[in-house]
Amino acid sequence: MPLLDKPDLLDAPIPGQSLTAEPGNYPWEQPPQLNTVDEAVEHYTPMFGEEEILSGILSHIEGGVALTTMADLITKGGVMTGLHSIDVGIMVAPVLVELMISSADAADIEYTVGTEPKKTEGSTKASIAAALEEEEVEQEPLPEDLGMVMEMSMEEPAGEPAEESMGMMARRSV
Amino acid sequence: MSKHIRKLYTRVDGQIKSSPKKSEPTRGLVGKRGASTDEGVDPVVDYVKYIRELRENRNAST
Repeated sequence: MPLLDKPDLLDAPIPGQSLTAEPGNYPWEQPPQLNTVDEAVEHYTPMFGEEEILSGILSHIEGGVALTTMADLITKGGVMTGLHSIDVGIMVAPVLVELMISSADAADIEYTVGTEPKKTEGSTKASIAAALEEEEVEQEPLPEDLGMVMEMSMEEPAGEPAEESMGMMARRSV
Repeated sequence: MSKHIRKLYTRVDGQIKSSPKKSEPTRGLVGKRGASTDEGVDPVVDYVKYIRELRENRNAST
């Protein structure tokens, strides 16, 4: 999509252009239909009883979409259609999250709320640096005494080859 | 907006977990008209608490 890749800056709206349009053209510019959290809850709660809507929501939850993201989408839809204001949308979202948890529990579906701490182990710069440091410690030169012992053991002439075990399970050299 | 929702949910969740199960007497807060407890002060908390209770009862019965 060329628009998303490189927006044409010269074709962008000039500052204040939105104020030149007739106010009230969009649903969200109209007074909201639901003014309180109670009204919004009353509007959204029956939605979870409708099989068609609920199955759609559950399939998204099963797909790994966080419940807070789902609540965000639902409430944003409400704001866009002029149902309620953004404030009421944010206020009603925790109730929607809780309703979704209940629905997912009833359907025995695993879900993520979206408030869980992120698992960043192994991907942060700090953890990579720690791993590198650990590796450096392992490769540090040995102390002199240890080095001597190692050299001696390396220089030891190979004497008689050890007798090969002849058992059934013995490894045989090729 | 998603960030705000996450924040609010965490706050509501913390508030419910830290509060006692039964509603408390009001301490200067304005709740439902004529109510002597904190019920109705924050409708969001009340709704979430109510839904959780329903869920716990359902889980307990099954």
